[in-house]
Amino acid sequence: MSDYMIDREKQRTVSYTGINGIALQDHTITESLGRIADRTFEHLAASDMMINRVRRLLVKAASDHAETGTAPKSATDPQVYAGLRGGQFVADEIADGREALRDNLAKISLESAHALAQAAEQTA
Amino acid sequence: MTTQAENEVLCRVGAGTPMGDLMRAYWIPALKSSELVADRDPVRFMLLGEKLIAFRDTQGRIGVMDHRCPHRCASLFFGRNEEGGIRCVYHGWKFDVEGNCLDMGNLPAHQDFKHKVHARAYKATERNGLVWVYMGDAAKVPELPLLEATLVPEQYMDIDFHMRECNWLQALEGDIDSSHVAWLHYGLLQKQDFEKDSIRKYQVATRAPEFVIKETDAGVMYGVHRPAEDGKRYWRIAHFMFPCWALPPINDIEFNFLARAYAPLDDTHTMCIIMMMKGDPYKKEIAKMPGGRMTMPLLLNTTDWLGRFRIEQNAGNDYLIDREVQRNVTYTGIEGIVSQDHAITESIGPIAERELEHLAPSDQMIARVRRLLVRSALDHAKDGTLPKSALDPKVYEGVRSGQFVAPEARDWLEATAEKIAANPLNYSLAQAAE
Repeated sequence: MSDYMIDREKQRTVSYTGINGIALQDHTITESLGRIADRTFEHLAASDMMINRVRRLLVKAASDHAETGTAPKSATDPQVYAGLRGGQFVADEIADGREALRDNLAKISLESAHALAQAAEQTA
Repeated sequence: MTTQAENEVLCRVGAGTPMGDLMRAYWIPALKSSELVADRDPVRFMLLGEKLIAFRDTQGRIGVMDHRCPHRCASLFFGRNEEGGIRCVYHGWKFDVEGNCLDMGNLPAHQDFKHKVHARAYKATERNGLVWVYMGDAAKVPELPLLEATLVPEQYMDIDFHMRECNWLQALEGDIDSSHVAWLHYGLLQKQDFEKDSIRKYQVATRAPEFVIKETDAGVMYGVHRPAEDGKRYWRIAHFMFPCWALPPINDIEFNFLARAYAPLDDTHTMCIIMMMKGDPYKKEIAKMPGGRMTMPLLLNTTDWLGRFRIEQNAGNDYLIDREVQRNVTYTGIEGIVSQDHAITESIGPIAERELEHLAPSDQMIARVRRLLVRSALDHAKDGTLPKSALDPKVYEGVRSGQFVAPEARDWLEATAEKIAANPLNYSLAQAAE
């Protein structure tokens, strides 16, 4: 067992997990749940509301499909994926998050996004 | 005979099984104290079918808990053993040795609910180098049993662990099975191979002994007798004690402070914990004989769930049996007394198929212990009744195994009681210290 090459000395002194690599840290922690997570053991917090919402949606969509053959819109319309993107930004404190997101998405074309990413890389 | 249904009761140790729940009414020895160092790496291990971690906090307290963080089940094995507790690396929730949540750092203060969340922690304690875990009802924690070998200060004892890849009961049954010794271990030895004044020699002079059995408050005891010289009898007195202890009679009863625990890791893996006095005369005498090695070479521990204290001689290499030695020198061709036990009890399979057995009168102690275990587990499952041993640590006090020679007419129970009373633990320890 390599335990994801965890280095306990590094964990004590240098890095939080002692596991080298962002994706490897995710890999480790999600595999550590066991082959199938026992969700009856969990205590979900407010920080898990997204996870909770996704689970509910998945259960509902799968059950609906099993019972009546109804598929979510995303199964039939490729357009629903168009223009969806994750990302970070800074906005005025009072701004409505969703509005700000829409504004940001509307402003940026694929070409300009590429240029922005390159510029960010050069400054970094 | 033991039926398949009874065998299931005897062998299954997970939560919710009759035997698993009975075992959970007792303290179970699980780790060496030396495995846990303050603020250092947590140890992964299994006990009674549960995946656990153990760690020692800054103050030296021991924490034993389900390895899953109660938040979203990430393994606390990867956690940081920080000041006063272990912190899950997934979202930073931190727990003390009792399972209290000390910090829930990924939540804004108004959403913090750390006082309502507990890691599934079990009681843990240590005495004389051995760490014990109690996995039962937290409202009914018993005291540690007053078992002699566990009361002897660490400096006088060798505590050796090795893991067997088989069910706990078949491993333990080798220790309440007196007639196997003169075969499996001493099969080719003769009287003259033993030291001149050693009374162990009577075992090979008569390889088919007689048995007497008696239930005790702690479990079951038996006496095995053979003729000695001058119309006397050679007795070997041994015990099974709840929930998974055996006291084999390897030394004179006056100072035989030893015990062996067969702690179930899961249904098919068992940690054998052998506690013996340093400089034990049995070790010295037997180690000189062919095949009598008393040490157990171990593989390096790994961090696998079942990676602690595995022995070099294992099923994968046929326990390094040497057929040439078996033909000419020793009875088994397997080096080492405990390795011979290890090989033969594992050879039965992961869980013995007891409906295939044909028990003989020499197995009557084994049959009696099984009946007691089945009855106790089912009684407990039915209405919560516990054996006295689960409630009163004193039933273990002064219980000792050992060998002696006595006049033929002497009552075995009286002789045993008299010899132990004349040599109480404190007295013998004072002698050992000299």
